Amino acid sequence: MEDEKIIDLFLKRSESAIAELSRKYGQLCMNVSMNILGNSEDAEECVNDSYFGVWNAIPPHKPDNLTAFLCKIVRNLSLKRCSHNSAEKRKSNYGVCIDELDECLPSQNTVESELELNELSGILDKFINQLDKTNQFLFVRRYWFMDSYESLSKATGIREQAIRTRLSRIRSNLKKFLAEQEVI
Amino acid sequence: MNGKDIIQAMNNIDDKYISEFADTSRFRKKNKFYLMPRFYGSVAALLVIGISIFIAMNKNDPPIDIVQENNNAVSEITKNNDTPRKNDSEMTSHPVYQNELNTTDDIADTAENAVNKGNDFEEDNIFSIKVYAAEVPLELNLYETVQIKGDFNPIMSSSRGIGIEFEITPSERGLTLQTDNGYFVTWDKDSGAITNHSSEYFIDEKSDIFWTTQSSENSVINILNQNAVISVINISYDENTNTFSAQRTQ
Repeated sequence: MEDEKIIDLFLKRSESAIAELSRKYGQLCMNVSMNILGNSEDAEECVNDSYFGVWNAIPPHKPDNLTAFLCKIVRNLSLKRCSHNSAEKRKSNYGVCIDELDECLPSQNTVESELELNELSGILDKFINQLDKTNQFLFVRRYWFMDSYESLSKATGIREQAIRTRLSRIRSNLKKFLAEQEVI
Repeated sequence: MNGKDIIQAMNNIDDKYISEFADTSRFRKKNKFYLMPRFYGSVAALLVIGISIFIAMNKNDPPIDIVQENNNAVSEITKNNDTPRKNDSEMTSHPVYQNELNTTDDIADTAENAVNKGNDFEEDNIFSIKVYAAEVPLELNLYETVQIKGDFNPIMSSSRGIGIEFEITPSERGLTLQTDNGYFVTWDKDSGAITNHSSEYFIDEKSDIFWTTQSSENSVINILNQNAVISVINISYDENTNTFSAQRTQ
């Protein structure tokens, strides 16, 4: 079913809305949540919570991009759950991704205000925009979807080691970019 | 700022990246033409490098067909360079060799260009075979036919009347000559004594050795080094012209 029709079902408060949403995006949501939590039970709970979040959000919201809207909710909920469970963080891709980014951004001072986070998001947008398509894909899939190197390799057909090298270079460039933007 | 902040901030990046990259299979299909050139580009680059190396390697060597055509030239270089070369005027003076000599000269020029090729041969294989067709010895090059006018009937050979004279410079370990027809003869130039040997004769230094046949049939002389045949000379006789033809086939 097309996204617009699913959104219509939500707007009409149809009970089939969540079923259609799950049919179309269930696997994607599970992947996002699993990559962060590394636990299928928790991931399933997070995904169900996300459906409930979408139900509550539409209406009044009418997202232009349902995929991004849903994935963001799943990601947010999964990150929140993970932050309460340090054991999960350690064994999931999320923990590894944080470690990787910490290597190029070693500061102990964290960004706390929403304003600063939004500013950082804008800068990251600019950074991603200047990458070529494959590097955009790798960066977003690794640090947004928290994909493993193995699945990135399968998705792109590029060798795992080559992906590691590429992402390492991207992180170095990110550090330079953030310095140029006077963020660090 | 640390890694966790980046992960958090990533949540608010432009929706287009999330929706575009959410389906990995779609990305691959969409970008196969982007990824493929990289693969084929790498293959093409490797091919270019390989071809360049091949060309560079073959640049210093004569083309293979030239080497084959001038096997005699290459073999000439394997021989001991101490042996003086016969000059052209001497060679052309004998009418029997007129045809062969032109070929020899052409090949010799090429042979000089291919001198380095001969240096790869093992020390043990360095030897020289010359045959006296007239008053001067001729290099008996591989696949080159040298004709020797027989001075005596029915089947005697060289101008000296003893047999076909070969001047052989052996390798350090010496050479053994074997023939399936006839025998070898040595001649002491000082005393004039002629010694008949058997069908096998060992030489350990540069020598003049005569081969005498007992019939007009085709004959073979094998040259062995350490029991291994390193050269073969086929000799035939034409009764009509009273001429022997000697050819190295190995």
